[in-house]
Amino acid sequence: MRHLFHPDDSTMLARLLRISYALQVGLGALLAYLLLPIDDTPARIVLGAVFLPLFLQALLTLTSVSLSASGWSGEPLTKTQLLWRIGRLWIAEWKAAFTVFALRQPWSRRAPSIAGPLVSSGGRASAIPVLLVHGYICNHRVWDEVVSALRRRGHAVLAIDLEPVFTSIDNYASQIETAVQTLRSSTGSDKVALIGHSMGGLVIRAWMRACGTQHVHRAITLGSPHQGTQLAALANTPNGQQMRWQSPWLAALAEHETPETRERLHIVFTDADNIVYPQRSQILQGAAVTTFPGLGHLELCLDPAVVTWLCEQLDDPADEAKQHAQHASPAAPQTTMASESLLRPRRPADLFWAFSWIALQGFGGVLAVLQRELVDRKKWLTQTQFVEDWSVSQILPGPNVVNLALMMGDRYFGWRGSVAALSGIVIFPMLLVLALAVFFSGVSDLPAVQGALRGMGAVAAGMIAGQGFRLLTSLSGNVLGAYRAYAVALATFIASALLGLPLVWILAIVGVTACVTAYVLLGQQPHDRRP
Amino acid sequence: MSAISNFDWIGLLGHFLLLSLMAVGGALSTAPEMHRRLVGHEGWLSDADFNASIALGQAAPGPNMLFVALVGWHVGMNATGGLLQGWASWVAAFMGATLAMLGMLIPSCALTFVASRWGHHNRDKRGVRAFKQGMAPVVVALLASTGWLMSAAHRDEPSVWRLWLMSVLVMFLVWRTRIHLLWLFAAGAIAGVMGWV
Repeated sequence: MRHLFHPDDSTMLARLLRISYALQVGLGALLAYLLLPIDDTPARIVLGAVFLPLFLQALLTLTSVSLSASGWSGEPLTKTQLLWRIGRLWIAEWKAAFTVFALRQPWSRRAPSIAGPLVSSGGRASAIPVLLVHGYICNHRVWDEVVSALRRRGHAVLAIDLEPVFTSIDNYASQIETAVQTLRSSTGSDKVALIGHSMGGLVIRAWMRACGTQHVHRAITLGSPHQGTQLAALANTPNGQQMRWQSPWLAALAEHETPETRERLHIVFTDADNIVYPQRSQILQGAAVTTFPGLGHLELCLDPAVVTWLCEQLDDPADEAKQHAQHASPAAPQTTMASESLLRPRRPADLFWAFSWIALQGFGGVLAVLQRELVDRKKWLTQTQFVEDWSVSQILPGPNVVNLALMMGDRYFGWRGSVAALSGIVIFPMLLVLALAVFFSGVSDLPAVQGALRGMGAVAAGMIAGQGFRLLTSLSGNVLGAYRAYAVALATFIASALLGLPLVWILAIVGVTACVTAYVLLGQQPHDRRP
Repeated sequence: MSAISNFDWIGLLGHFLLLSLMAVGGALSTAPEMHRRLVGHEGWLSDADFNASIALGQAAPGPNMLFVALVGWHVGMNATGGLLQGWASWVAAFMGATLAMLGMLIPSCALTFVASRWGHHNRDKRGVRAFKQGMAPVVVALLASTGWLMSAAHRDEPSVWRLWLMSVLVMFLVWRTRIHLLWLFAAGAIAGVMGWV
């Protein structure tokens, strides 16, 4: 079995997870084949294979969330509040767990290496290198969000894999030492910042106990069981036992820790942690503490608020001042300067042909092509102008692309320009699509054509819903806040898809309510938040 | 289906004229309403026609709103009793497509033309921002709803489970990856031609 668990190109954990999911998929297919009352055998098998892993993950997450509720303290919750909180945590952690355990960690083949900063080193070369240490039964892929955010801020980042998966935490200390030395020698920085999630925080502390703190810029732990967790009572592995509630190993670690160590340590926890509980006990004398209320254990690594906070913590103050100076400089002079080098269409026909060309290139949506043609190639707009025009064309009713064409045409040649741009974007594509329709209606009785249309229809359905899901992320900065925004979306979906209500009613009731709420909330916001 | 009288042509145009002003966030967000009226209420085109219109409109180059022309095309075609009627049905189909497009474009274009300068100058005003942010979740949900209604249209197909699976898979790919949409359509068409779905 040794070759199975120690291949050169993938970690032991990745292998374990792949085996586990293969078993779940196989079992799901078998169970569905035997039990599901659907006539279509292949469909039945695929359904079972897809849904059993999802179902088991959901079950496991629900168990952990319910168990951890015993540790929730603070103000007493009513039954509704309790159920609401469990429900929210369950969904969020399920999504996080599926992303991390099914989509990322099993497929991590590359040996982790240092990822360089993504911004040019001009003025930012001094950003502190960062070492990321994952938790129990995880690997470096849990850090994907953090790695890319830190790299965008100019940090060199190393996210390591701790191997083997089950061993004493003390055995990982030498791996941290090697990683720290690698980071130091390749970046030339004397000090390194360390971030550990869950068990990773204890690994960092164990390493500081063994090797000292002279190279530590600071150490941040996310959801680490500094006092142990009651969940680990179930674990019988060496590292699992060390993380039991109030374990002797943890007591010894705390006892041998120096004030210098505690000074560099920053503890981050969530009062709703579903793995490490009692949640509020996970603090240490002399170490700073930050709380992110309401998040789950894995969410601590994925949540945008935490990621942003981590970046801010590691930003060099001097560097930040520089950035502020850049942001504070008014955008107006930049725009004027840029517009001098901008070109403009000479006559309406230019607009017609440009938009025709754009429309004919745009398969499945035109936004990407628009930006490439108008900003990059024709240089009729700056990037900023494009984004502004696009956002205005979105708030007006009607197809966005058509609105944008109208606005651009109007700007250069008044209504003649609008007509030219609009004709460009509609005429040729419409002729093309009608030709396609003629062709299809001529052959539409053939079973092959019917099948193709049926398949493409199913693809289009998934595609449109997928674009909707993609836009969900744009709601994260919404003034309504996540709960209200999702509630509005859910109400709209139920009213439209399930109840089949007319759109006028939906817009009049749900839409107007949402807009009025947004108006009120915008009034309560401090004015400088979104200049 | 028998011929649609003159009054209904006006009704068709009127329907799209009204929809046009409700199309906040793109023409696709009116698809559920279009489906409700034209397929469910009036019965002017079938679920299959409607789905084919959206699929072709998405697969073909150009703005997504072209599916509106195709919906009009199908209504016009059905109005004269289908292909067997010869050139009359072609004329009717083109008329349907043109009316649908004009209906969908005229009001929103007029409004855009008048409002764009105002909106451009007032994009930081509280009312404009409230409208934009308040409508955002509605627009997102209407997209999901369109996907749902298109999938629900398959309920009588023998391969309904496979079609749902394929839609869910595509939804996931579009959501989480940057795969080119044309590949997905090609895969869907091939799966359909081969009789897998």
